[in-house]
Amino acid sequence: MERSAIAPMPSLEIKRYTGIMDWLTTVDHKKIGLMYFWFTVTMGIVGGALAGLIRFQLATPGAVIETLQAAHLAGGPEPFSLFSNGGGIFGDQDRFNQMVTMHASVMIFFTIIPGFIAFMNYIVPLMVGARDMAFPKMNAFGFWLLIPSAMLMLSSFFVQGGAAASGWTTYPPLSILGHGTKPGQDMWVMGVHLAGVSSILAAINFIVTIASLKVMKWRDLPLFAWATLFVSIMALIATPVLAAAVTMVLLDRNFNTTFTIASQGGDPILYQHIFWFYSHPAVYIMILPGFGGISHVIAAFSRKRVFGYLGMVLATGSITALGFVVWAHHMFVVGMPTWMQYYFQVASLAIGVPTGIKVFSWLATMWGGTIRMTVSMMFACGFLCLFVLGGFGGLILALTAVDYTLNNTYFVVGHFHMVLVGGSVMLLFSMTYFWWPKMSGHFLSERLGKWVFWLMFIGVFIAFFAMHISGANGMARRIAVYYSDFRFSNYLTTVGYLMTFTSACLFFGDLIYSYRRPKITVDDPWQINDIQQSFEWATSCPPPVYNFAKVPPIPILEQIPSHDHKH
Amino acid sequence: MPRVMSLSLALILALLCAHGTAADGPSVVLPAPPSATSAAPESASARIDADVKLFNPDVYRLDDQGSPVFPGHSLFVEPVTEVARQVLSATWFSALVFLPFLILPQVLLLVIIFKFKDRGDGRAPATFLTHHKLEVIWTAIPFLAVLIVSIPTYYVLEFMDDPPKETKDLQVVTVTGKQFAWMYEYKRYYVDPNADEKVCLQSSLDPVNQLQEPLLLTKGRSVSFNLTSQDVTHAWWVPAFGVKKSAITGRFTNVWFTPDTLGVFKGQCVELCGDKHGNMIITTVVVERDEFERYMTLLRHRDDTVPVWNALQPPAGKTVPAGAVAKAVAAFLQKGDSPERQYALSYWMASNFSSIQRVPPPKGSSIAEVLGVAHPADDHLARDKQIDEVIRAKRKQVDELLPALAKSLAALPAAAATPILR
Repeated sequence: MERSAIAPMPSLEIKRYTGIMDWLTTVDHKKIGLMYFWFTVTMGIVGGALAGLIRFQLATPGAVIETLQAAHLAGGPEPFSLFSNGGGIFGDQDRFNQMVTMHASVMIFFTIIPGFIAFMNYIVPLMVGARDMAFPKMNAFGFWLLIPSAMLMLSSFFVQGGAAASGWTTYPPLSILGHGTKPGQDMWVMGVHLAGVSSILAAINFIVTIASLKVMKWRDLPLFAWATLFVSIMALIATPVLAAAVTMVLLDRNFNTTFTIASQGGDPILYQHIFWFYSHPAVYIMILPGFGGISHVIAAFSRKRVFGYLGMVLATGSITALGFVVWAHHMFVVGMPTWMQYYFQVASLAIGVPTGIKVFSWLATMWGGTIRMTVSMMFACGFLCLFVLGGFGGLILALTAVDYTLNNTYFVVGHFHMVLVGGSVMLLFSMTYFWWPKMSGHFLSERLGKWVFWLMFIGVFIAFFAMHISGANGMARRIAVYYSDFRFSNYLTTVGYLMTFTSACLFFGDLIYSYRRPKITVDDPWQINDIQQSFEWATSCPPPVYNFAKVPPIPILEQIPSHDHKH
Repeated sequence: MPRVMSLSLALILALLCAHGTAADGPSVVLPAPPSATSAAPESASARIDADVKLFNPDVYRLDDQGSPVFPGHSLFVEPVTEVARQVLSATWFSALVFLPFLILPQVLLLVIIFKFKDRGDGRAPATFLTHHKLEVIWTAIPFLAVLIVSIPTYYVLEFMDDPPKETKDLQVVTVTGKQFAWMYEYKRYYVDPNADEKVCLQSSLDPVNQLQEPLLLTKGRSVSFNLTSQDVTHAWWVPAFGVKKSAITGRFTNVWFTPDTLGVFKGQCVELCGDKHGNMIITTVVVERDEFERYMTLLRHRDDTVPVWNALQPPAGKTVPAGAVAKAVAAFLQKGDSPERQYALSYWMASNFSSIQRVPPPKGSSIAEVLGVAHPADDHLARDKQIDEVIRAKRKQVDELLPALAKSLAALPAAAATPILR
């Protein structure tokens, strides 16, 4: 593009801040997107460190029941461990449960969901040809809500009784215990509320932005924008339900209600149903934006346009719809009627069909292309490999009869880590390597990136495959001590964790160092507009405050349709 | 019906007792009458040892290297119920049907990467955008696979969710979870079968050491659980049985299976239930029918034996007071001195002496110190042997007291004995 084509915006009489005040007061979707991004990176490190404490506990000699008992028999001191009721260096097993709870909460509410929102915020308005989000101030408000939310959750480690320790699922009656004396759980609930409001605001904003500010027709909407739209619809419908569920816990704890207290007419299963009605869609909220993003990555580096555009959109739509009607497969063992369990089994299996369509479509996109193995593309391929593997475990888990054995074991933990880390996190890395040049104006290192990729790919595979083995052999989840039968697979997981965490640290360093690299002077460093013209690559890196001098900036869509309209 | 059962049980016991004096075999239900105990104390002791090993499988020992040995299975288990076998075959069947969807994308991915990698030879990428037939195929075939898997798994599910009809032979157990133990209530086995208000036999934490007691099941006999909880949600799971169900406050959930292999099967609570969740371990023992009935008899008299056990605990640094023990044993026999009751006393003493080794001793002390055994700290075998000897000595004390006390009690008129013993 010719730089001279970009004319400056007419100057408005608005007081402009600079420096830190600029970031604190900005309503620019790009700056907010970057703030989301750095928030996510920070929280990812916190969540990863919490995971590290869990992994190291499970690698200590004091985590093996037999070793513990041998020490008791010999009358010697308690074997070394991080969390143990007999004196771990970081506290008792309740502390361990706090780590488990907070690891999950930080990773879900502050890393993966806002991680995708970072890209949605930055890229989607560019992609649809808008100058900003539909509600810029609401956008800023949504981001700033996350800060107190995270502070509430993380500071709860330092209050009396410590943080919430009933798992991120917060099942009552366990989460009701300690009311009035242990405020950690209440702080967790309030944190979730704030994160939920943030999520709802973002969802409304994305829906309105896409629907009203897009300059193309629906049939030309890029896949990432489609994914954003579907995810926002999901978040908009599901998040209030989560708010209802955790509010029941809050009320039962503090206001003497009895929603979940069986002895007074409540029912713990009521909570589980309502909670999973949000939390199953939440797993798609945590991966669908990545599905959209990966389509762009694969198309860009295969030098082809994405295969089966219509099928991709419909598949995303059907995952969205089906995501709402399969929640009870998380609770097969609570004793539901047979027909109900069977329905949830079949519906859960059915989700595999649209997911399969997407996987095959990505492969077909690559087929016949000239594939450039950039780090972004490597992460995309790594995602395909690990996601299919994790999805296979999901198909097995969906079978009710089999789930009677595997429910709440490390097999489940391995499965959802394989699809969340092997899936969502790999997608986030892929999208970062892809869009970071656009977002910051600097490249990330391709050479170091190969180390980042291989360490993460192998680490994730080892860590979470070993978890599957632990679970299939009978290791329950959320335990701080285990039978010695599981020692080896737990060591493997810890080794995998170390590799993954090293990779994340390398990436973090590279991210900071990237600002010292020379500025990108072209609009389209990946030469994407040669293949499929798109708005976000038709403005500078990073784009100016007003995104585009003229909207739409390039008359491309009528000339080169983004898909074959006949089909 | 219970009366008939107890009568027939008594008859069987009597027959077996007679049989037991003739030949010492593992099938002996009760030890020989007290008079025979002094004649062959070793064999009675061996019988008790065998029963303790059978019913109380967490007995804890060190091997030659000083590493702990847990009798029984690890969790790497073969399925031992029809339910678990069906689940296993359903797993393999579904895995096989789904396997192509795992292998095909991985293979395709590798092929594509190597075949279509940009080698800088100026090859132009393909330009196709859709392929209608292909898309229909990769939508239809997964649907077909889902259907193929769903049909047989429905029958497995129905089989698992359909408990056998309530019959006399169905063993019904009420399982109640509480932080952090399981309470098993054996339905139709009563503390006192003749009482008006019948109370079922229960086992939970043992009354002496507060350790989780095992659940006893019978080989080949279907068992049906009613699970519930007293405080928070728990879940009962033994991998070898292939069943898992939540124990929820205010609800009863049901699960059934038929164990068909003898042995010890372990599991644990699998729903986060608090800080000691990881320690909420389940031990089940599958035994023969007669052994099960014998355990029920033992359970019936368990609580009465606690005072004797307490009397056997010496105050710190002192020897066991023989007078107090004699008094406690006399009080026990006062309530009934049938051979089964005497055997129960010996059994529970032996069992509790064994479970003492499972108790974490107070910090800085060792079990050897608790028992007053001096030992070189690193010689596990010698130490174990010494502990064994102390335990045997204590048990012998009880065994020797039994016939003497029984005799003296029999000689006294009941009215005269009562005030002395109380």
